Amino acid sequence: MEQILAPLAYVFQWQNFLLMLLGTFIGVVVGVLPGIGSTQAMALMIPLTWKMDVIPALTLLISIYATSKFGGSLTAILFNIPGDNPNAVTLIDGFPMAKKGEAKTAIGASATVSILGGLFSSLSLIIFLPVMYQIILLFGPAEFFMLALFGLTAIAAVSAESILKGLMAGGIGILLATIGYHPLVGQARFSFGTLYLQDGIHMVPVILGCLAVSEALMLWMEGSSIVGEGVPLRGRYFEGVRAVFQNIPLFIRSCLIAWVVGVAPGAGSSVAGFVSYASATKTCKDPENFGKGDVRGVIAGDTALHACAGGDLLPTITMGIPGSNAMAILLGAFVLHGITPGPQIVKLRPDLIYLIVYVLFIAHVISVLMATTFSNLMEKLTRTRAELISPIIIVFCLIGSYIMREYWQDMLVTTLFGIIGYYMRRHGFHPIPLVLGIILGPIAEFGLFEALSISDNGPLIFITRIPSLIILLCILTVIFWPYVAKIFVRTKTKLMR
Amino acid sequence: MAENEKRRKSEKELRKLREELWVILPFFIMSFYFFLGSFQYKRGASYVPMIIGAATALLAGLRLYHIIFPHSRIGDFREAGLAGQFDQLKEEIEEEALKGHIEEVKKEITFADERKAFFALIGCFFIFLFFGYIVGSLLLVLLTCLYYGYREKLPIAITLILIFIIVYVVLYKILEAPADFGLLLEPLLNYFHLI
Repeated sequence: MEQILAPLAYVFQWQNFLLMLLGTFIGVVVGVLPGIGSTQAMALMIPLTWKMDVIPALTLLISIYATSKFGGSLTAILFNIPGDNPNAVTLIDGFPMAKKGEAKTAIGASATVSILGGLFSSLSLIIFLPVMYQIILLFGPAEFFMLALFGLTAIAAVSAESILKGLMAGGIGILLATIGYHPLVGQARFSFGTLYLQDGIHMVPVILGCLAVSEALMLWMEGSSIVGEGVPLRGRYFEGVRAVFQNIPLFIRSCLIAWVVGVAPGAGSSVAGFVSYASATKTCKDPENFGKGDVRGVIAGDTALHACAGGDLLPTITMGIPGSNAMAILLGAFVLHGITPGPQIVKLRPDLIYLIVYVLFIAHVISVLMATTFSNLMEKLTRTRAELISPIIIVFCLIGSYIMREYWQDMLVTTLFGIIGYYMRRHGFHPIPLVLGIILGPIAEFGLFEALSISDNGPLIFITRIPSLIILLCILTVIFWPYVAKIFVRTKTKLMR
Repeated sequence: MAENEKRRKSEKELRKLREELWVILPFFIMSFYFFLGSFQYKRGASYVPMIIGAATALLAGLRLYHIIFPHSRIGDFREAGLAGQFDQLKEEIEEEALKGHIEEVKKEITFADERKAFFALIGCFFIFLFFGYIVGSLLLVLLTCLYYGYREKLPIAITLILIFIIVYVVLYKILEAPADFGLLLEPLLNYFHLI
């Protein structure tokens, strides 16, 4: 019991609470600002958490992750522009509602499902944690290696365009992670005799370059600038709250859909929102009203955006398999604070998981209060020009990469990976697998080394142990599923003929 | 007419494919180098660069082959991952649901745009290198304002004060980030006994 309640006390320590407020504010602001989302904001904040203890660091990052979506919903409802990609689902019914003079009703519904969705996410984590713990007790070094490998291949599935391009980028990430001293053999690899490379390429400059700088460059060049005229705030917030409680079955269904989609590697809240919305249009009465300002559309979409956080976090925390891009950044934060993502957290630091559960819920509540109170300021933020946001992001990325280790070479790495990340994005290579390769590469290598040492260098250990074999099969499924599915479809078509 | 359109489209696709060389060629060279280089290391240290280097070089090589011979199916890499299939599903729903809701006009990025942005990024790096992050960030704000031709003094002053508060007060003083005045400014400040 103490293990469960102690983290709640951490959350309400004034320093942590202030950080949660700051994180929530940043989350809401990046949610409102078009072009940047929670992934970039979390990447930008990682260097600031460098000197912090792991608890305040996680408090800050989880608050940003949890709250960015509500800010995006506000702009979607009022301005017909989603602050972040996932919020595209909110505007389908949110903006028509606002045009009909029901903006406050839509915001009320969105705020209510945000809080309840956050609660569902937190509860789902608490419920499934003991189950995961029992599974994890079966794991040894061979499984740890396989899990790291699964994390890498799973995120390659993020590569919407081509899974092989994702695997290639992941491979490059792992190779970059091998630069520097091998911790067990004690030999410097690929360092060209330089002291900087003997320490290895640090993951933070790479994360900042690949995810934040490259995105800022994209934003700068596309120069996507913002919104037209907004819609006046009319209607009643309470109507929205009531609508949610009148549609509880829809809310529960959306939560469950979001949770399942959240657990699936690579499919984040964006997919969850649309799948839930599509399901609502098929299962609710009067489906013709959807898209014309039906509050059920806002409930279905927004519930999924917030409820998928639990499914997203569960495999990330317990197994080190990120469910989305933001989770890859969170894995990086764990590694940065000396905590190996995956089973070790469940075994050694369950307090961190309960901390995440509390922050996830409380930050949702604060974000709703903050965003509705400062809606005028949010409106002004939507008019910020992209060309002004980009230089600020770049400045903070360079500062962040420098202040961590005081190496000017880290700034150079950020600059170079900014350009590499930009080209990768342009040519259908998502930079996330590369980043994840750098984060999980050393963990996988360590697991491989340990497993081979135990088995006296016999690779059969990976298939003779049942849990390891199961994870291996999962890896093969993720990689070969598109090909198997294609063959299956072809055969089916032939048979039909 | 239709044939012309088709030809133009395939030319565009070919150009796009050729541009991928910017990514594939460095990937291929790098992974091949790691694979070959791994042979000089002790047994435990060589496993990962050897295996992953070989696998990545193979994938990059196949793609390179496809770029050189675009009509070949080798290295086509069209299979979307599981998430890609989720995305397809999402796109189908999105297309249906968002009809007429967002009118997003994306600007075509030209080589000149890219060159300008990269120069700016590299310029930022050199400013930080020579002047340090405290002075560099203020300089960058001023330079950005000058570049975009902003003349209004009040917003510029507010931005400068905000940057100063975040960088100097929060980062440097409160979070105890290291003092850094860059390769050029630091010797000067030292010479005049200003730091």
